[in-house]
Amino acid sequence: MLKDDYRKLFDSISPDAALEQRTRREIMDMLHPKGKHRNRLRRAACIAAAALLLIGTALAVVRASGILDRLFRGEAPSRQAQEAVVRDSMQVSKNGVTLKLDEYLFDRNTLHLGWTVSSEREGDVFYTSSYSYCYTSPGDEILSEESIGGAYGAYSSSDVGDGALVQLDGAQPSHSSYAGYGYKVMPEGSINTRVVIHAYETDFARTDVEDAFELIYADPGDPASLALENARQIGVDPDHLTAVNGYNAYNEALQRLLDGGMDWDAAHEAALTESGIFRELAVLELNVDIDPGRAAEPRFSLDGARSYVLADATVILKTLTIDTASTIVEYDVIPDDASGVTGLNALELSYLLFDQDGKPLDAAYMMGAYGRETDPIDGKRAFAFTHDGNPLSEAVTAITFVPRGRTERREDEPSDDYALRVKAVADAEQCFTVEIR
Amino acid sequence: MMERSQRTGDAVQEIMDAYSGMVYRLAYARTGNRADADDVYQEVFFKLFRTNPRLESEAHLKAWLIRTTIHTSVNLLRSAWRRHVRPLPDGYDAPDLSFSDDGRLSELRKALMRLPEKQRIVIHLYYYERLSTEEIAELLGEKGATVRSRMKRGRERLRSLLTETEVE
Repeated sequence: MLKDDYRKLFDSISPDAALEQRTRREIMDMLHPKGKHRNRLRRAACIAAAALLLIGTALAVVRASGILDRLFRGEAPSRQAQEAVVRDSMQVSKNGVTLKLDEYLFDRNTLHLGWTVSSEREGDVFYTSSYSYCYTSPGDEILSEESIGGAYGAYSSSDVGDGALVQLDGAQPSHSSYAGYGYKVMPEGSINTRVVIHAYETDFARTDVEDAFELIYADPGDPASLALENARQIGVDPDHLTAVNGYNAYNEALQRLLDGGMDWDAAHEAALTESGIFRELAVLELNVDIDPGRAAEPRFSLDGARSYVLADATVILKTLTIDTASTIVEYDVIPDDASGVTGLNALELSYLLFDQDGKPLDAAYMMGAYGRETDPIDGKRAFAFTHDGNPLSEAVTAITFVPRGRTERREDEPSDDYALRVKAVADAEQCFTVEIR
Repeated sequence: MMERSQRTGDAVQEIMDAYSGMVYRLAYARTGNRADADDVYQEVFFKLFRTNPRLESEAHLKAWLIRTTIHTSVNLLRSAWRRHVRPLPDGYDAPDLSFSDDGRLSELRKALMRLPEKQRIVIHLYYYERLSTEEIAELLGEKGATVRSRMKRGRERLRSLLTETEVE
């Protein structure tokens, strides 16, 4: 059985003794430091992403429509992005439900797509948020991360594919969704992206969409469960292996099959009836093949690594790419004195970004920052950092890197206020500027 | 909340003895490899003893550890607003777990790592930590229906991936 195998698999996974001992020791040193602060390294010291500090609640401000609106957040989209958006009319319909691919946009780092589900049926239609996948070539699952982003519509801000249930009715006959992917290295072959939705209808009365969705998972005593018992129905979809519910008839059948020695999953399937509360209307799927070779050249890309020797560190700027739909910045920091740097404070070595007018960029362009200690460079400890996020506006003509240092963000302090405080105390000899031409 | 003087070696040892495995397994379920799980594991316990959160019960501590492990894994693996699609690490097909079985568990592990991260988390908390869907929902700050739906999809996907493996 799946759950038995799962437990067996993870029973064999545990931290090794050396890791436990090292962690314990370093914690005790942290709690009870003795004399001069000593270097406490962790293997491949992982620096907590600054993303959450910088982005804060910015994610909640994302607008509700359009890939360009999402990427440029109220500013005028770049000419390049406007030209690169592919507006599609590919669609598939069944039983009055239609899935339409609205648009997609890709560059050498990211792929974004938007689609709409609509219904022409008289009654309400429910559909679970879509599956969305991105492949290097049809049938091969890329490095497979789930889609992220969120619904354009008003129902949910949670991730697409996350199980939110959308209701289409007379008041809202259509609903649009969005997904975005990132790839560290642009695939050489084609990129295949797929969107799948399952649409249902139901005859059972319900007060709202949550109530309707809960019909599948109702617990004993719930109004939905009682209604089902009164109607002598078992409300599950036999094709979709719903979670165990509390309906008596279902439980009796399940127990009888289990007692007869049947595997739990098989018994679950067998106990379901053909008459579900949700009747499946359609499974709709769209595939789009994208040729990465058609990606436009980035607006700006560094022509080779650049080295900046600063007051207390050397920075090797490896990547600065402003692409159609993304911005990527990568650099290594080699501090002159790394004796006090640990996994807990290495983030202080990273930089915040500002435009030519001193405006903070990280939060404005939703740039996450993260890093880790990397292999030594010229015998010195080195730390690699990456910032990535939305494409910078064409109005940005220069980027100034300001060291974060030990300035800590105050509780509930807005990201930009924090960045400006960091900038105010920074030593000019610790900063550097890159012209964007 | 522990007073600083109470954060003694014994207290550290006791907590780590009790929750070391849970944190590590959840970190592994989330990240898919030991190197990242090691980092998450350390970061979680550092955070616990450094920030000394106000925890009122054992259950509260466990919930804090689970949430922090998940959040720390997220920070490790992805940027603020999108995920990098990572090349499969070298030796992906060489399991870092040794099994004496016929490879079934190895296939399960591979299939598990192909699930979306949020589904993996829910499945792990349900199957291994034996939390109810309501407990998982409360931990993750999600609706119960959302958690159950992720479970459903995760199991479907696992089943589909494992079936493909059998056919091959």
